[in-house]
Amino acid sequence: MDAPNLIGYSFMLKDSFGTSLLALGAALAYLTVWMIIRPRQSAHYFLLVYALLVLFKLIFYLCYYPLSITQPASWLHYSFQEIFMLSEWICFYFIIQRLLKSSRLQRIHYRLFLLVIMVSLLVLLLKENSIRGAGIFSVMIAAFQQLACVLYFIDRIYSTETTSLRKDPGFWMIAGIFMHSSGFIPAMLAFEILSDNLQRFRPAGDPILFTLYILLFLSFLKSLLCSRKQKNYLYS
Amino acid sequence: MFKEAEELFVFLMINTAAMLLFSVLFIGLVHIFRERQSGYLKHVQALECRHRKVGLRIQSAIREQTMQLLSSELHDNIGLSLSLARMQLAELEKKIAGVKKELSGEIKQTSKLIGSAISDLTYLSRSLSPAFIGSMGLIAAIRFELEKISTLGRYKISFVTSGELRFLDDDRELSIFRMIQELLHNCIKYAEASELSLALKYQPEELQIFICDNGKGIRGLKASVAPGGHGSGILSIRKRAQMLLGRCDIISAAGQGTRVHLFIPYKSE
Repeated sequence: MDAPNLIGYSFMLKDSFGTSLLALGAALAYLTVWMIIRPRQSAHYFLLVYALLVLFKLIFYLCYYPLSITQPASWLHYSFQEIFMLSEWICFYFIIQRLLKSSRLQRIHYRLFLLVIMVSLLVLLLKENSIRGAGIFSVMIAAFQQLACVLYFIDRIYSTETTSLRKDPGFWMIAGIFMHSSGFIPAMLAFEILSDNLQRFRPAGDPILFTLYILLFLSFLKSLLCSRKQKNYLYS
Repeated sequence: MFKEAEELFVFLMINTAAMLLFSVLFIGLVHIFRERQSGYLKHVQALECRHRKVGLRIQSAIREQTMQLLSSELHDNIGLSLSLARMQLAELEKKIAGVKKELSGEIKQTSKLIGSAISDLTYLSRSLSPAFIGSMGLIAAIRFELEKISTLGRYKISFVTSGELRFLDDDRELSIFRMIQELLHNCIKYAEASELSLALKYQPEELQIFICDNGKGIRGLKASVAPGGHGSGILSIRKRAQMLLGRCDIISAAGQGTRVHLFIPYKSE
């Protein structure tokens, strides 16, 4: 299958109920609005990098999909996924560090970041089967992301600011990532459990994954719109 | 474990929906808690603000009461004593008019001095009296104060008003007058100026007051108005302006004079 047909096929997937197209649409809408608003806060720059990484992962997944129908999932796909997950985590670290106001929570988050990097490198180096371990690796990163999100929520709870959370761009960024990783964990665990029959079962899980991406990009979009209303909102 | 893709789909849907529901609930709880906390904080801030305003109002009322007392004391006691002394001197002058002519001139001189002291005392008593200032109105009170300063003969004074004249309530006018009085006295005490100008601009929403001098300026203005700095007069003026929901801007540098801009809105709430 040549490249244009391959991409075309991916977008017309019947099994995903059009969610793949919607996910891409949400991502493109976010990027377009970013270009229009051009927020100046550093957290938004890191969020853009994060969103681009997620988008590339999504495109890679969509392009890879037709190939994986005829061939079993290869180590290339999973290595790519692991690299992206790790890059996402690094990017996510910078976003949260900029959003946290409490220096104590920033220190805790920094230690968590180092721990994840070390554990990730150990997992990547020690796992024997590169295909089977990828799901677990993704789940681990998603779980740590949730922990970091909880740190952010704790920071907001103890904050003395009187602005509403709904008007806080940071809240929407983290809410999106938190919901995305919450839904991502059971899906990836199921894939991991059924990795031997993945080709057969994958079409069932794809709409869920794409829906999670839609939610993620929509919350990013909302954070952009919040920062447009609140131009004086400054991140540390 | 799962026979069909549909079964897995349902399983995944249930799990993901449960996790999503959990995360939405968690975020919702954080949001509700934060909103309540924010409401409470806003309430506390409003209370603090009101408390501060009441404190400043009480402070101002006590100050005015003290000034009224001082004014009465000056007028009723010291003024009266001086008037009596002047009358006695006049009597004495009559008695010795035919006997010791050389003393008569000296008595006249002393009587003149006492007269001048009575006049100064009357000025002082009036400028301290809130009731007198209230009855005069702001512009007349400022003119009265400037006349008093002009008697020193050290300053070239200019006073202009522009815009449609608006009458404020007595308390606000008194506060504004006290601020101007404090600024003028500061100018006399520290500025070493030769020119003094005062302008009142009645704008549609606020009264703008500009007081400028060509004196030596304020060295280290930021440090002097910082907490613990020696510029307590400036801080007090700023507090009074804030109490009137206005603001006070001071522009000054060493050797370049001082410009004070007061912006006082007409609305009191």
